[in-house]
Amino acid sequence: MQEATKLGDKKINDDLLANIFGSERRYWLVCGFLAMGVGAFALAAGYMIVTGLGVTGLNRPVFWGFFITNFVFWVGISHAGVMLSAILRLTKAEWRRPATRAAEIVTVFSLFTALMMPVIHTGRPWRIIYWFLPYDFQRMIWPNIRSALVWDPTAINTYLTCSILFVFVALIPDLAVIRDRSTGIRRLIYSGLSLGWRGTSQQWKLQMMAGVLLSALILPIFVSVHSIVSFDFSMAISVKGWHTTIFAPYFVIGAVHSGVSAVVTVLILLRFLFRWEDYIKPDHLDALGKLLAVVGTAWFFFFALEFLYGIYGAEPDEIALRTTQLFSMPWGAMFIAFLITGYFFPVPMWLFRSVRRSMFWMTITTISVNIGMWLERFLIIVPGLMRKQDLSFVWNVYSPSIVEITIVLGTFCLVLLGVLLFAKAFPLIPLYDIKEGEVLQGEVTVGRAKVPAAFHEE
Amino acid sequence: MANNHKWGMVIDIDKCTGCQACVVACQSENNIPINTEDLVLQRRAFQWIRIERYWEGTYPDIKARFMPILCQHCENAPCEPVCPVYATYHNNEGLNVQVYNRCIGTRYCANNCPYQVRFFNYWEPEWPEELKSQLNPDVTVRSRGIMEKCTFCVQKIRRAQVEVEQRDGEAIDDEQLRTRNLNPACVQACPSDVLVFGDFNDPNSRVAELSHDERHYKLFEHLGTDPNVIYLKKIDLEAEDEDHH
Amino acid sequence: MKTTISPSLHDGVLQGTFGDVSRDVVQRTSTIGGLYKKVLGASFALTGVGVVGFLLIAFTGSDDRSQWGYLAAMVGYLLTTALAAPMVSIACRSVRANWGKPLARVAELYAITGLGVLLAYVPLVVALPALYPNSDAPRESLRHTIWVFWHPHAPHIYDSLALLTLVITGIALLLISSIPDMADFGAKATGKRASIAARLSKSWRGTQKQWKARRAAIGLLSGLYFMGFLTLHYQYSSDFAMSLVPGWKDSIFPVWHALSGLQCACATVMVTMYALRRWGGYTAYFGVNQFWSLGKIMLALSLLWFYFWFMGFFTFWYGRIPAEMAVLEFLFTEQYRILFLVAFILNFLAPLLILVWNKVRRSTGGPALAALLILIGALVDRIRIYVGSWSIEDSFGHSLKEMPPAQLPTIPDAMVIVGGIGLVLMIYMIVAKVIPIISMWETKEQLLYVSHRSLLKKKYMLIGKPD
Repeated sequence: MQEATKLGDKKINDDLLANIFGSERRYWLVCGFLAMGVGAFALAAGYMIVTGLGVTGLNRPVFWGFFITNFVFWVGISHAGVMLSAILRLTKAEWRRPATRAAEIVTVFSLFTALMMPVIHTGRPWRIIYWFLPYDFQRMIWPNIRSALVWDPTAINTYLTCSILFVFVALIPDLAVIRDRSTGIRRLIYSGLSLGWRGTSQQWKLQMMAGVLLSALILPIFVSVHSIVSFDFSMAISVKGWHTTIFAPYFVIGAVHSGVSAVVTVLILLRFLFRWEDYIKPDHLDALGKLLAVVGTAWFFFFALEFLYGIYGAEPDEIALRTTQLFSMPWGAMFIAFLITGYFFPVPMWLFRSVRRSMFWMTITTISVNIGMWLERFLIIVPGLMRKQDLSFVWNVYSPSIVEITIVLGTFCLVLLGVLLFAKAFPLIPLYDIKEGEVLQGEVTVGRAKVPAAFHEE
Repeated sequence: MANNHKWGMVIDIDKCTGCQACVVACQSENNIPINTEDLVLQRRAFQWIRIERYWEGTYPDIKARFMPILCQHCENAPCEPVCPVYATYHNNEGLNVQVYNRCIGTRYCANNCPYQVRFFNYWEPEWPEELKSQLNPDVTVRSRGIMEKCTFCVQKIRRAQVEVEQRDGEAIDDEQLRTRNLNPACVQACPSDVLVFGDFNDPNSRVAELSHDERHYKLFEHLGTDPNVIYLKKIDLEAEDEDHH
Repeated sequence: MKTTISPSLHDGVLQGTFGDVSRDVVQRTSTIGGLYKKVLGASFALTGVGVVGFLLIAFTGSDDRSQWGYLAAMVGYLLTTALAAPMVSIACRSVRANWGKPLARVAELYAITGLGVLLAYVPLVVALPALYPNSDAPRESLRHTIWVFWHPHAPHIYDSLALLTLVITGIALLLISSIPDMADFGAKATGKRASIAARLSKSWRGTQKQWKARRAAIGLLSGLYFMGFLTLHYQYSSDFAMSLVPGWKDSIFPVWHALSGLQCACATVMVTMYALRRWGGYTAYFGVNQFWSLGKIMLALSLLWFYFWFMGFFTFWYGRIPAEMAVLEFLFTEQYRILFLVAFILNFLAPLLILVWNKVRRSTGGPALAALLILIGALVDRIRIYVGSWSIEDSFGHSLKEMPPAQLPTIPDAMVIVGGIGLVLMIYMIVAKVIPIISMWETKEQLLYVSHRSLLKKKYMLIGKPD
C-alpha cells in the first residue's frame, strides 16, 4: 500500500542529486572494487586476443561456450529496461517510477557488454569490420544478410540506439535541474545536454509525447532482439536441442525473468549505496516480486514445452542430448541447480508477502534467478554441441579455462561499474517522475476504510 | 573456364580397412598443422578426413566398423547461409569453398555442420624447422583464428583445369585424373580403393556409375543437405537390417 | 442522480445506485422478450441440424478417420472460443481492471457451454488412433507423442481428463462467482427460474466470512482454470493435430494455439457484448470504455498471433529439413494455402488495420467488427489444422510421404460446424436467464472505487485499488 506521506520537491532534488555533488566513501569503495574486476577482465581479454583462442577451453565440436552463454545472458538482462519503462509506462503502473531509469541504464550497459562478447570471441577480432560493412566495394561483397549473425548486431545496435535515446529523453528535465544547481564548466556541460529546457508546458508536452512514442516504438524491438538472438540457435539445424520453434518466445520471456530480477538486485544495491530508503520502498519490491512470480511461471511453462517437445520425436541424438543434460555429471547437477535457482527456490518464495517486502530475501532470490538463468543458457548451448548428431565418435566435452571464467566474472563488474559511474553524472531515479507520482497519489473513501488510489487521465 | 563439373566422391564402406593412409596423405598435402599430443588432448586435432571407428556387438562377438568422413560438399550446405561474412559459399562446380581471407572466425559454420568436418585454428600453426620445407606451395598456410576444412584438394582440381583443359585442350576424365596424379591426396593414398573421386556430370566416370549402385546412401539424408559424397553400404551377410548409416 | 430509475452511462461513467443496478439487472433477467425467443429457437434449430449432420457422418460414412476432421475442427474451435472466454474475466479480475467488472459474467458464463463441448468430444476420442498400433514396431516408426512414458492409455484418457477438469472447474468458477447475484435474483424476482437461482445460492447470507471465502475460491479456481486452459490447448493441439502428421515437431504450435484461444476469448466476449448492447438493451454497462480497453488487448494479441506464427514458420522454413518443409507445404503453402491466407488476413491483418486507429478503437462498432472477423478467421484456421491432420492416413513414420489433397466440407460436415455454434449459443442463452448476465456485485464495486475529480484543470478518474 502506498503511504500517503509526501516528500516535497526540494527534498527529492536534494536526495536524488546528492551523489552527483559529492559521493560517500562507500560509493568509491564499491567502484574501486569493481574497477579491479574490470582490470582483470581487460587483462584476460587482451591476453586472449594476443595469444589466440587456444587459451579458452573451446574445442571441437564445442565451438561456442562461456562467451556466447554470457552474450545471451547479458542481452537477456538488457530486456529489463523496456519491460519496466516502456510496458509499465504504457500500462500506467504507478510503482514503476523509481525503477525505470535504473532499469534503462542496466539495459544500456549490459547491451554494450553483450556486444563485446561475440567480438572478442571471434578468431580475428581485428577484422570484425567485415561483419558490419561491405568491405570489397568493387566486387560488391556485402555481409551475408542470410546469416543470423548479421541480424544479431543489427537488432542489438538498433535496440542500443533506441535505449540511449529513451534514457536521454527522460533525462532532459533532470539535466536542467542539475544545470540550475551547478556552476562553472559543469554548468556549461549540463546546459548543453539539457537542450535549453525551461519547463514550459509546451516542452513538457513534447517530452511526454516523445516518451510515449518511444515506448511504443521500442516494444517491437524489445520482442525482436531476443527472438533474433534465439535465431542464432534455432536456425542451426545441425544441433539437436537448438533447432526448435519455441525458442524465440522462450528466450524473450526468460530474458524478462532474468532482467527484472537483475534490476531488483541493482535497485537494492543503489538503495544501500545512496541511502534511497524514501524512494525504493518495500511497496515497489512487492509489486516487482508479484510481476516476477508471474513472469517466472510463464517462463517455466515455455521451458517445459521446450523440453517436452525435445523428446517428442524420440530421435536417438535428441535422447542422447537429454540424457547428457539430465543424467551425466556435472551436467545433471547443473540441471538440478538450474531448476532450483531459476524457478523452484525463488518463485515459491515470492508468493509470501513478507519475502517480497524484505530487502534481504529479494536480494537472495533475484541473484538466485540470475544464477539459474545463466546456467539455463549454458545448458542449452553446450550440451547441444557436445552431442551433435549421431556421430558419437566425435562427441566431446567442454570445460572452461581460467581465462574464460575471468572474462565472464569481469563482465559483471563491468556492467555494475558502468551503472555506478553513470550515477556519478546523472540521477538514477528520475526526479520529475517521482514528483509526478506524488501529485497523482490519492485516496478513495469506502465506508470507514480508505483505499489508496491513483489518478488516471480520462 | 568450363563450369559444367560437379565434383564428388563415392566411399565404399565395404572396402575400408581403417588404415588411416588417407588421413596422413591429407595431412601432408594440405599443410595441416601437426596433431601434437597437446592438440589432441585439447581435443582440437585437425583431420580433414577422419576414420570413425565404431564397435558393433559385444566381446567376443565384436566387429570394428570404419567410416571415412570428410567434408560432404553439400549442395544445401547448412554451413553456408550462417556465415556472416560470406567466407564459405558454394561454387558452381559442386564444391563448398572456404575463403580464408574473409573468415573472421565466428565458428557458426562449424556449429551448423552436422558432419563435424570443420576445423578451427585455435593456435598459430607451427612446424618443426625440418618439416617447413615440406609445406605444399600450392596450399595456403592458415593463420590462427580462421576455419578450414576439406577442399577436395581444390589445388589439384585447378591444376587439372589449367593443364588438361586449357593447355592440352582435353576433357578431364577418370583416366586423366589418375595418370596425371590429379586425384585428391586421400584418393591416391587409399590402398584398397575405398575412395573414388570424379565428376558426377561426366556419365562415363566411375563416381557417376557407382552413385547408382544399389548400396548407395548419403549421410544424414533426413537433414536434406544433399551431399556430393555418396557412401556405399557395408556388405554384411550375418548382420540384420542395418539402419541408415 | 437518485432520481434516475435505471442506471445509465454518462461520459463513459456508470451512473446509479446499488439499488438501481439490482433492479435493472433482475428485471432484465426475469423478462423474456420476443427477440430472445426467436434467437433461442434458431439456435435450437441449428443444434438439431448439427445432430442430424453428426448422425449422417456416423452411420453413412466409411470407417475412415478423415471423416471426423470437421468435428475435430469444431471441437478445436469451441475450445478456442467458448471455453477460452472465461479467461477474459479471470484476467480482468487478477489485475483488478475496473473496466472489466461489468463484463466479467458475460465472459465466464461461457464456461457452462463446456457441457456441449464434452458431448461433441466423445466421438473424437473413439475415432482417434492409438499411439502404438502394435508394441513390436520399432520406435522410430511410431506416432510421435508427448506422452513419452504413459503410452498405454494415451492420449485418450489424459485428454479426456483434461477436458473434464477444465469444464468442471469452469462451471464451479461460474457458480461461485455468481452466488451473490443469484441470491439477489432469487430474492427479488418470482417464477421458476428465480427459484432455481435461489436454490443454487441457498446458503448465501453475505457475511464477511462468506465474501472472504468466496474471494479465495475464485482466486484458486481462476488459477486452476488458467492452467487447465493451457494444458488442454497443449494436449488437444498435440494429440488431435500435431501427432497425426508425421514430421510435425513444432514446439511453438501449442502455444500459438492457446494464444489464438486468448485472442478469440476477447473476440467472443466483444461480440457478445456488442449484441447485448445493441439488441439486448444493456447500454448502461457496456460503454466505449469496455470496447476500447478490450480492443487494445485484442490488438496486442493479434500482433502476438503473427509473432508466434512467424517464429514457428520461419524456423522450419530457414532450416530446410525435408520433413519440416513437407509439413509447411501441406499446411501453409500448398494444400491448405487458401485457408491459411484467409486465417492470416482475418486473424492478423484485418484486426491490425482496424484497431490500429485510435478513433476506431474508441468506438463500439470497430472493435466488434474486428472481433467478428477474428472469430471467422479462427474457424477457418481450425479447419485448416484439424481437417488437414485428420486426413493423413499414415500417421506413423518419420516424415510426411504422401500429401492428401485439401478436404472440402461435405454437407454433413457443414451441418456439424453450424450445429456446434448453435449448441453453444443455445446453452448460453438458456443459462443467462437463470444467472444474471451482468455481474452485479462487481458493477457495484466499480461504483464504490471509481470517483471523478479534476486536478490541474484536467478531469481525472481516481481509481482505488484495495490490496
